[in-house]
Amino acid sequence: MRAFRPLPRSWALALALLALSSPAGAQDLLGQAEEAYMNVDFERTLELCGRAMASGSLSPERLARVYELMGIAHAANGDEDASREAYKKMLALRPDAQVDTNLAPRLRSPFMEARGYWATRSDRLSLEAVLVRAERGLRVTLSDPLGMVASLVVLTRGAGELRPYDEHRGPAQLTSLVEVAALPEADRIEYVIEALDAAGNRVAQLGTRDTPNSVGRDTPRGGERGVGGGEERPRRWWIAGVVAAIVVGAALGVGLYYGLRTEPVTLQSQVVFR
Amino acid sequence: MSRNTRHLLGRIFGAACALLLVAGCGETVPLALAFPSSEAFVRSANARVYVVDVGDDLGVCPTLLMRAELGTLVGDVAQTDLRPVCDFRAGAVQLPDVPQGVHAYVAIATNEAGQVLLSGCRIADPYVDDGPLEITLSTTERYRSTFPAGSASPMCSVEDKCVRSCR
Repeated sequence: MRAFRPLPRSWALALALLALSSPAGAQDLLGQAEEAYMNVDFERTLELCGRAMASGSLSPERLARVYELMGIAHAANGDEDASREAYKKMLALRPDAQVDTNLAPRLRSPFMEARGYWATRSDRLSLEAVLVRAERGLRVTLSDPLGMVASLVVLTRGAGELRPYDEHRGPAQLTSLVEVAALPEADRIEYVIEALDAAGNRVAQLGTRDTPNSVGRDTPRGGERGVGGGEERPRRWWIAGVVAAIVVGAALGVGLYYGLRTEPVTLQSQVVFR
Repeated sequence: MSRNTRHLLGRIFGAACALLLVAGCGETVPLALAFPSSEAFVRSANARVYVVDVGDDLGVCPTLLMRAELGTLVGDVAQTDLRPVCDFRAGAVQLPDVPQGVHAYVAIATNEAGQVLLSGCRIADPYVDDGPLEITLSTTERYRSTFPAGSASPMCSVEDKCVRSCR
C-alpha cells in the first residue's frame, strides 16, 4: 500500500482553477455531439465524443452519455467490437442504463452483449472510503474491473472548517491510505474523492466540492438553537406563507390554463390507399 | 325553495354540465396513413406515428425519416405505441390533445420483425390546416429488397387480414 502526499497549496489552487475553466467547453462539445447524432452523422458524433473525452472535464453522468453515443455510432458504422466496449464502459458508470427499445436490432445487440458481460461479473466499478483514525488517514478502496481509472484525487478538511481542502493526488490503486491533516484533532472530516480516467474525466466520485461527504464521530452541539425556541415561531409563519403562495399560484395557473387554452385537437387514425 | 326554483336550478346545472362536456371534448381530426397499395398494407404488421417539434426547420423530413428507419427517432411532442396496422384502419389509435403549432408527423409501418417497410413524413398544423392530416407512406429499401418487383401478391386481402386474421 502506498500513502499519498499532500500537494502544495499553490499547486492545488492552480489545478482547481484549471478544472473550473474547462467544463463549459466539454459540455459544448457534448452538445455538438448530440446534435450530430440527431442529424444521423455518426462519423462527426464519434469525432466530437472523442474531443469531449479528451477535454478531461466530464462528470460521470456526461461521460456515460458520451460512451452511449459512441456505442450507438460505432454500431451504426458496423464496428460492433468498439460499440460493445463503449457500452461496457457506459454500463460501468450507469449499471441500470437502458437503450431505447426503438433502436434497430443491429444497433441494440452490442448493448445486450455488454449487459451480458456485466451480468457474468460480481464486481462493479465502485469507490469507498473509511476513516482510520489510528493511522490518521482515510482508506480509499477502488474496484475498477475495466481499468478505467488512472488516478485518484482526494480532498479533505475538518468538518465545518472554512478553509480550502487539502488535496492529494496519486495513481489508481485498489487500496490506498490518504493522510488527513485535520486528524487527530477533528471529530469529523469532510472529504471528496474523484476517480479520474487518463484524460482527467471523473469516472466515479464520492461527494462534490460543494457538498462533500463527511465521516467521523458525532459531537453534541449545545447552544445552536435560541433559548426557549425563539426561532421556531417565525419559521412556522414562513412555511404557512409558502404554502399559501403555492395554493394561490396553483389556483391562478389552473384559471389561466382553462381561460387561455384553445380547443384541443385529437387525431384519430384511418387508412387510405393511393 | 319552491318546486319551480328547484326545476330552474336543475336546468341551469344541466346546461353548465353539458357546456363543460362539449368544451372538454375538442375537435377530432382524421390522421390518415396513405399506404401505396393494399398489398403494402397486408405485408405490414404494425405502425407508429411520431409528432416531432421542428422549430423553424421545415425541411427536416429526410433526416427524421432516416432516424425513424434506424429506430433512433423519438416523438418529443407525442407518439403512439407500435400498434397493429389494422388498429389504425379501425380508427382505434388516437393522439389526444395534440399541441397547437407546426410539427412534423412521421409514420412508419414495420413487419413482424420490427424492420421498417414503409415510412412517411408531413409537416402540418392540424389547428390550421383543413381536412384530414394525411401522411403518405413510401416503401423503404428494406421493402424493395424483401418484395422486389414481380413478387407474388399476398394471399390475403385487407379484409382477410383485419377481420379474419389472415397472414
